Amino acid sequence: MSRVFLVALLCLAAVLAGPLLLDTYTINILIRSFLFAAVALSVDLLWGYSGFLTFGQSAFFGVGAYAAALCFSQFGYSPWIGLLSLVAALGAAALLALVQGWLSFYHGSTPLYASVVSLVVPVVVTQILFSGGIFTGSSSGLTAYDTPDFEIEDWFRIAGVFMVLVTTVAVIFVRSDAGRVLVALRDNEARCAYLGLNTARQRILLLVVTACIAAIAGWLYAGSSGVVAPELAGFVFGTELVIWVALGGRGTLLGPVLGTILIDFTSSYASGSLPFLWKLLLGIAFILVIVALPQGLIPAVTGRLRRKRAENVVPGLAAAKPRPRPDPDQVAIYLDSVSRSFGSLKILEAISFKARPGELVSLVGPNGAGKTTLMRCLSDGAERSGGRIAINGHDIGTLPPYRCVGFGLGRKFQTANVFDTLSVAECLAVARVRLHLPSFWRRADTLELPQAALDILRATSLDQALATPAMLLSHGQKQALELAMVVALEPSVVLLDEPTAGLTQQERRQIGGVLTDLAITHGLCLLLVEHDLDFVREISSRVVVLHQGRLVLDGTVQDVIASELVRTIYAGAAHG
Amino acid sequence: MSGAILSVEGLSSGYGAATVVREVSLQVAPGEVLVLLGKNGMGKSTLLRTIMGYLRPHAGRICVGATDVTGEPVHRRAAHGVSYAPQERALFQDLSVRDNLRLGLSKDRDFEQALGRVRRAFPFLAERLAQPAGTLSGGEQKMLLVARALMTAPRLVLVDEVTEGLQPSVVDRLATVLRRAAAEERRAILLVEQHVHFALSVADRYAVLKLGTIVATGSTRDPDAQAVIESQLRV
Amino acid sequence: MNGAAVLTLGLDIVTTAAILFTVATGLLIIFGVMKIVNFAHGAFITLGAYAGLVASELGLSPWLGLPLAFLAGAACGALVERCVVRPLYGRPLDAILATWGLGIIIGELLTLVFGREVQFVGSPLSGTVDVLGEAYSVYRLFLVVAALIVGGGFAWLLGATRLGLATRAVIMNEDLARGLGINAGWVRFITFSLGSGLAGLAGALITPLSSVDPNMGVPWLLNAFMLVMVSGASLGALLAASVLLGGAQVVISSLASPILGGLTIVVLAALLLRVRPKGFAR
Repeated sequence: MSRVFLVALLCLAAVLAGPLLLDTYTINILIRSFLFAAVALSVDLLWGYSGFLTFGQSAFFGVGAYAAALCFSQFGYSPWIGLLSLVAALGAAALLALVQGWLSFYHGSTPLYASVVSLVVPVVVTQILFSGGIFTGSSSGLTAYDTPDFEIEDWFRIAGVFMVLVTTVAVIFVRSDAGRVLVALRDNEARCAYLGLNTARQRILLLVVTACIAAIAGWLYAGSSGVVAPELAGFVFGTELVIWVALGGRGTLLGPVLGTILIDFTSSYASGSLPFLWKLLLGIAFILVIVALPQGLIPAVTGRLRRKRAENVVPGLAAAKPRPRPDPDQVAIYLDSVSRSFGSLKILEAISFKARPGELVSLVGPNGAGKTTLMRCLSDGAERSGGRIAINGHDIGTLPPYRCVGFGLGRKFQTANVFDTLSVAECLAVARVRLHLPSFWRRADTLELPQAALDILRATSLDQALATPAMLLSHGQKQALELAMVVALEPSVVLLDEPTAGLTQQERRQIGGVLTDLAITHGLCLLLVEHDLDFVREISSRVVVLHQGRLVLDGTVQDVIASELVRTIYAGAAHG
Repeated sequence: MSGAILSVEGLSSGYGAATVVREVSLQVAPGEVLVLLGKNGMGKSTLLRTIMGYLRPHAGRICVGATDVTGEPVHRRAAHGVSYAPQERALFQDLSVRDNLRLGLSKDRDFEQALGRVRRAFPFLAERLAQPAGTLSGGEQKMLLVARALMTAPRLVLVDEVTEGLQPSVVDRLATVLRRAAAEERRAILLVEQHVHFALSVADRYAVLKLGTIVATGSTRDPDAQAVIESQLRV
Repeated sequence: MNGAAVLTLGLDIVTTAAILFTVATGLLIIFGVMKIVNFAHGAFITLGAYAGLVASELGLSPWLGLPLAFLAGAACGALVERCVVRPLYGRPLDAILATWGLGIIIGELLTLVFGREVQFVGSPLSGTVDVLGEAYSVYRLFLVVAALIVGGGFAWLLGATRLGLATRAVIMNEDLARGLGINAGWVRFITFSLGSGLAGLAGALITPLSSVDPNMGVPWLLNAFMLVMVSGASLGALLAASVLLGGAQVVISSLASPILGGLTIVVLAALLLRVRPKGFAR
C-alpha cells in the first residue's frame, strides 16, 4: 500500500513540475491525453475488471463537456457557475448511467446485450447534441464561451492531478476486498448471484461511478480547451477508448492509463506527418493484440502480469461466531405441486415434498428425470411454471437467485463453479460479502469462516493453498472449494448437484464425510442430486426418486433398495 | 486384432482437468456388437464422445480401420465411416424427417438408395418424410436416430443409450435392426447401455465400466454373463 | 395529410424496409451461423460502394458494379475469416473488437487510395415512375426488387440446397452437425464470405441514393446491427423487423424530425430487447 502512495506522490510531483520543463504545444496535448486517460481508466474498470465491454463511456465524457460548455455559454463563467455546471455534469451523467444500467443489467441479461446498449447510448447523445440547434451548436459544437481564466499550465496541473488521483483511488479500490468482487463478477456472474449478491445493482453502481469519472474529465476538457463538439460523445470515440485500453492491457489500470497517454500524445504528432498511416498502424496493432496478445502490449512488453501480485498476502483463517442451529421444527424445503414445462413438453409435474433441518435427502433418477431442473426451480423463482416453493418458510415467488440465497439457501453446481482468476482465499472472501460489507480500500488480514467451511478446507488441504489461483486447482479441489464457498454463506439449506462427479474414490469419501457432518453436526438440510447409488446409500437419510418428471418414491434408503420400481427404472429389468 | 474396425488403446479422457475415462482399451471387429455397460456417471458417454472426437483424449490412441484418427476433427471421423447416435438432443427438431436423414449422407444422390435401407428397417419413417422430427414421439425419434446412423452404410456405429425410456416393442425393434446391421451388413457396433437385457440380446461381447475403467469383459453367450454384469451393476 | 402524402409515405416505408433488409442480411447470416457480430460489416458496405465507384469511373455499365462489389466484399471477407475471425471463434466479444479494428483498417486503406472527400456515383436507373398518380423514384422501387432477390436468393440457398441444409444444421446444433460429417469450419468460411459479399453488394446498391466516403458504412452498421439483434438468426424475423422499425423510422422522420427518425431503430430495438430478449424471433 505504501508503495502505491509513493508512486502516486512521484507522479503528482511530476505533473506539478511538468509545465516548467515542457513547451506549450506539448502541454496542450498532454492535458487532453491526461483527461482521455482518466476516461480510459473508467473503461478498464468496466471492461478489464468487471467484464462489461462498453463502447459508451464517451457519452458521459460528452455529457460532462457539454454541461460545462452550455453553462458557460449561457451564463458566462463565475466560480458559482463553475460549481453549478460540475454538479449538472455529475447529475446528468449519473442519471444517464442509471438509465443505461437499468436497460443493460437485469437477471438474465447477456453481455452482448449490455454491449449493444452501450453502443446505443452515445449514438443517442450525439444525435440529441446535433438536434440542439444554436443551443448546442449542432454539428460544429460550441466555441468561444467563457472559461475559467486559468493559465494553460494550471490546466495541465489540474488535469494531471485529477488523473493521478483517480488512478490511485482506482488502484487502491481494485486491490481491496470490494475490488475483488468486480473480478468475481467478470469471472462468473452466476456464481456471484448464487452467493447472494445483487449483481445487477453492483454493476449499475459501478457504471454510475465510472460515468462520473468520465463526466469530470469531460468537464475539465471543456474548461481547458474552450471547444466542444458532438464527436466527443460519439461512439467512434467510445470505441477508440476501448482500443487504447486493449493496447495498454485490459485489467491492469496502469496499462490503459499509460497506453492512452502514449497513443494520444503520439497521435497528435504522427497524424500531422502521416495522418492515415498512423491510424492504419494503430488498427493493425489493435487486431494483433486482440488476436494474439489479449492481455495487451504494455504487460507483454514489460513481461509483468498483474496476476503475480506482490500484494497477494494470505489472510489468516478464523472461525466465525457460530450461528444457532436451525430450528428442527421449521420446514426447510417446502414444495407444493411444482411443475416446469417448455411448451407442451413437461419436464416436472406436480412435485411435492418437504425436508427438515438435519436431513440429507438424495434426489435420484435416470438422465432426463428432471433432477437438475428441480434444483434450478428451488433456487430461482422465475424458473418454475407452476406450484409453490418455500425456503425456511419464505415463499420464493418469482424472486431471483440472490433473494433465494437471502432466505438461507446455498447451491453447489454440478461443474465446479468458482472464480478462476481469484485465489482460494479471495473466492472464499467473495462468499462472505453478503454477510459483511467488504472494505473498499484495504484487504482484511483475517478471513472469518464458519467452522464447517474451515473443516472442509482442512479435510481437503485447501487451507494450505489459500494463495493459489482457483484455476490451478485440481478438479476435486475445485469441487471442495465451491462447497466451502457455499457453506461460507452460512446457509441452512444446501442444494448440491452431483458433488462427486469426476472425483476419485478417496475424494468421494471425503466429500461424503463432509456432507453427513453438515447435516448431523450443524443441522443443515441437504438436498443432493446423485447418480452414484452406492454413495447415496452411504450418506442419505432419505431418498426421493424422480422418473420422467414425476416423483415416484419418497422413502428411506431401505425402501428404495427394496423397491422393484426403482430397479426397473435403473436397470431396465422390466423386459426380463 | 488386426481386422478390427475400431481399436482404442490406453485411452484417458475427461472434461478439463477432470479425468473421467481412465486407460481404456477395446476393439470392435466387423460384424461385431460390443456393449459398454455401467451406471450413470461412470464415463460411458465420455468414452463415446472421445472416440467421436468431441473430446481430446488426455492419453491414448484411437484407430478406425488402419487409420489413426486420434488427432482428427469430428467431421473427418464421420468421413472415415464412423456414425454416432448421441443420447440427447440428437435430432434437428425443426427439420423434417427427410432433411434429418439427408444430413446423415454426404451426397444427396445416394438418398433414394439409402432410403430403401431405412424403409426395410423402419417402414413408418418412409411414410412420414415431410413431418418435422420434433413432432415424432419419443420412440419414433429414437428410431429415426438409429436410421440416420445406419443410413450412410458406416463401418462403425456408436450408439449411446438408445433404449432409455422406450416401450418394449420399440426396444425389440431396435434390437432386431442393430443385430441385422451387424450380422448381414458387417457393421461394427459399439453400444452404450444401462438396459441389461437389451444389451445381452444385441451384443456379442460386453464390457463393464466403473469409475472410467473397464472392470469386467466377456462374451454375452457365457452362461454367467448376466450374473457377472448384475453383480457389477448392483444397486 | 392528403392521399398523395400517405401514398408517398407508404412507398417510403416499403423502400426503406427493403434497403435495411438488404443491408442487414449479410450481418444476420454471419451472426446466425457463427454467433459473432461482424463489426467490419460497415467497412464491407463502404468497400462495395467504392467498388461501384471504380466500375463507374472505368466506364463500365453501372449494373456491372453490383457483382464487382459483391466479389470485392466476398474476397475481403474470405481473407478476414481465415486470418482474424477463425482464432477468435469462441471469444465473441473479442471478435466484435477485432472486426471493428478491421473496419478501421479498411476505412484507412480506402482513404489512402481514394482520399477523404465525398464522391458521387450515378444511378443506373434515373427518373421517376408513376405510382397511382404519384411520381416516385424508379431506383428506390428497384431496391425493393433487389431486396426481394437477395432475400429470395438466400431463402432458396438455405432451404433448397445441400449447402443450405448443412448451414441450417450448423445453426441449430453445431456439435451434432459435425458428428454427421459436416465440416463446420468450411460452412463458417463460406458463410462469412457470402455475408461480406452481401455487405459489398448492399454498399453498391445504396450509393446512388447517397454518396461515397470512407466512413459511410458506420451508420448503416449500427442500424443493421440492431435489426439483427432483434431478429436472431431468422430471415423472416429480419423482414418483419425491417418493415416495423424501418416503418417507424420513416414515420417519425417525416412527422417529427429526421434526427429523431435516425434514432428510431437503435432506441426501439434496445427497448424491445429489454422487454423481450428474443426480439422478433418467434
